[in-house]
Amino acid sequence: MSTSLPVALVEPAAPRPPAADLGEAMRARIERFGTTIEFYAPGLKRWESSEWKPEKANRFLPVSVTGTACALQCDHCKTKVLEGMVTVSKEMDLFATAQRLKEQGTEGLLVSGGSSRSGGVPLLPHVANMRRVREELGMRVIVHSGVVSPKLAAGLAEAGVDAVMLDIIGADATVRDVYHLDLTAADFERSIALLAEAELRIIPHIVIGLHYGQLLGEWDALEMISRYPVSTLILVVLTPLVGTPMENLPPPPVEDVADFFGTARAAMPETKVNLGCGRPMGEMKIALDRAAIDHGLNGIAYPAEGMVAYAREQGLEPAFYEYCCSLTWANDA
Amino acid sequence: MASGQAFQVQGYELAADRLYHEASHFWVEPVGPERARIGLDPLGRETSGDVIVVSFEPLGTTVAAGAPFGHIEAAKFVGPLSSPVSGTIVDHNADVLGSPGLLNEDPMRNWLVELELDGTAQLEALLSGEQQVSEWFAAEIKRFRTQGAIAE
Repeated sequence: MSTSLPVALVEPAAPRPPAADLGEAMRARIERFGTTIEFYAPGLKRWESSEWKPEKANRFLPVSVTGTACALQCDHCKTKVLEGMVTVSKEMDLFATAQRLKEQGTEGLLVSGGSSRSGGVPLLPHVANMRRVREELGMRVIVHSGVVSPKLAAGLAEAGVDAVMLDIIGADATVRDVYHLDLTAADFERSIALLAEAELRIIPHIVIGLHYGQLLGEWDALEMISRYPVSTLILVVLTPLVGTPMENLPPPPVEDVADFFGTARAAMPETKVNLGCGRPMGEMKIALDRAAIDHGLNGIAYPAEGMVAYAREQGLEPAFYEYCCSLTWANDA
Repeated sequence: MASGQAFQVQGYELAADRLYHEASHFWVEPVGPERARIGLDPLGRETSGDVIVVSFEPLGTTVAAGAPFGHIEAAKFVGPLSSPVSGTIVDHNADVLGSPGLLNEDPMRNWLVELELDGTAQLEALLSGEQQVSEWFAAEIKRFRTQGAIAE
């Protein structure tokens, strides 16, 4: 498949200072957070390893308020990520969908969807039902917001959602080229600020290598995020998805990603930093997961084979949660 | 497209010369007196998402029904490939090992492993025949849609 990706238009990212040495990263992590490492397996996919087989795969499920529709058609996803989500429709609204899923044993929802041309997921029509799902069904509700407007921030606060997740992009070129948005990185910072003003629990994600496999705006995104009171930082790694313009691109080199793990750990020493579910598979996943443990990250979603044993070898105590790695505050509940 | 006589259930193409295992969504194709090939049916493939990595247990490995004959990493499923029947692995599909994406394109044509069966009586427990398979498959489509595992 041929692609005409604008990667050549972008200057390579300037080298950044290397992260702290591994021993120091692990020491600081244990000093601040103790020896527990958290492993997560939400219901976003069927998953099991020889070390851990979740008991209830549908405990936490994603729903899409747009089905598989998305106005952005970004080069990264092309709606592929939406394909595994439960569709919210006119015939079965969010509350009815949640009722149906609760009957099957689901305890929490990630309310997500495709994006509008303004870069946000059209969640506003659903905020009243989000409140009902929380209050009447007792389910947890977290949302994927995309770019946030003041009205949406207020609506989500009114709905009392448990948390808001959004990708933070630190490079204008990535916003323009990958997401096809007529916005800048400043609009993503404005989104965090609005969510912070609304006193919502914020769970920013950084997609490492989002700019066609290059690290470009990741450090600026990290700096942006570190200025706000976020609940948990989730790091994910560009996964070239089948059926997208990026499918034949190499993911970012493991060494670069690992170095960014260390940088993030050092930049946010008081905040939980987890390796989220989006990352390449196979041998690279094993290398990434080892690096996440070595660099003192707090948790890993869908750990690769052998990672539970590896964590124990590093002196860490595994804990297992069958829900989204964004819900770190729920672990003590 | 399947190699045998094909029929469709709500747009999913199945082969009439295969036997189907209800729980695992594998098909079994007898290819000799005591031999059968195993593959993913279209719902097994779709609910797994795009397949990225596949590996198989070594040739000569004996697998019991329900035990893993391999491992898969796909967009919506990471875990063991649990055999629908018992037998000994006598062949791998090298094409699929080299290009797992073939499963995304045509799971009915691209078999995974070939087993020397521990007897053929076990095949009687599998679904067969267009009518029986169609009824089961339609119910499964409904179930997966309700669960959100496939698009509605």
